[in-house]
Amino acid sequence: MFLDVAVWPILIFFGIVVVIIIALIILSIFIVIRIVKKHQKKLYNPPAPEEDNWSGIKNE
Amino acid sequence: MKLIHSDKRNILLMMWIHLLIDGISVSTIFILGGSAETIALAVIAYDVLAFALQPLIGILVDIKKIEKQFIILGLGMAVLVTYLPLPLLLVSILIGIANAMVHVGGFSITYQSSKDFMGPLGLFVSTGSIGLGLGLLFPQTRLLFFILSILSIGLVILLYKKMQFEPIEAHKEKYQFDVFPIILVLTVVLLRGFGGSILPPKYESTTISTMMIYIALFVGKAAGGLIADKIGINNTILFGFVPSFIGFVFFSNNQVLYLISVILFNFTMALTLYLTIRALKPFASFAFGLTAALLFFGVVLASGFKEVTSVKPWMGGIVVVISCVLILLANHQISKNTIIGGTQ
Repeated sequence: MFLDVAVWPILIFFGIVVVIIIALIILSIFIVIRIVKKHQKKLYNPPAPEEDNWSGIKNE
Repeated sequence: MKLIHSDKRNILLMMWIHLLIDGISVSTIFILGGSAETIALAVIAYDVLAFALQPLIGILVDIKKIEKQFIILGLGMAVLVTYLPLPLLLVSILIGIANAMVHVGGFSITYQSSKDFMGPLGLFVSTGSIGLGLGLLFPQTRLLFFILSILSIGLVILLYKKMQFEPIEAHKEKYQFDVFPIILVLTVVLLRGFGGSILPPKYESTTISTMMIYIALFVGKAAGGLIADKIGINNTILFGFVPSFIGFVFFSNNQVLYLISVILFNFTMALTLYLTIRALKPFASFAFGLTAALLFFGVVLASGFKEVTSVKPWMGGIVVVISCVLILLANHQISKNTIIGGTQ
């Protein structure tokens, strides 16, 4: 089946589609990784709950 | 925490918008027609743009918070293109981009209205199947979708200022970022796209029976999240996967059992979406886009796979079993990495 000449254009076209999809997915993952690296502390350590702010004010 | 009136309104509106965008997109492409090669090329261009652009659009939505603008712009673009005398390929490209914008925008509003429940996520993704089925099998519904889309754009503009969101509870949790559960859950998404495509029914296909499959997809996706909210993720996976494995492997020639298997297999849609969002937070829209792109990638791989080998029911069974194990493992890992309340 693979050696059939008529199949090659379909496979090449199929390959191009696969490459476009993978490229778009990788590009988006790359962008997100860059954002995460830049803002890691802020993104994964959210501000303390509101109660803590109040207790801080009370202590003052 | 419970959903309030405005949350329910937002979720219902986005479900409706999802149905419309899929309906108007597919009906427009299929009613225009052309040679077999032109239609094939147009469908591929549409699918690639509609699915593979979603992660990039998701990042934009997560950072800029422009989901409402994307819905109005995307649906408006689809409406404009519907009756313009443009070549089919150009129509497909424009509609593909519009479709991606509306999907991500609609998901973002649904997610922000979901109060971290899985039900709304499943409900949002479910209506696309109905739009897709109607547009594909009855392209003459294009005019109806066109009119309803214009009215819905008006509705979104009317409610524009009322769609304001508070940060949802899950964002207040500390999360130990980990790539491993992300890979696990995304593999399940890829396998669902692949498995869904290599598991066609063995009974005779008619317009009614095909529409029944789209309705089964709708029911499965919608019910999965709602059930998981009640009985938990692990129980839903076991309740969904085990019977669907038996149905796909042994009874794919029986219409009723095949449809029940489709419903049960699609329970995982809301669950994988929910787990991906948790694993990739705070990039919820990107997570949604990534699952869409990988689901489509799975479908593309399956179409290539079918070209080079003949598909056997046991192959579907293997896909179901692997998916089941991976999703249970991913759920365990993501729960372990979540530190509720921000305390160690």
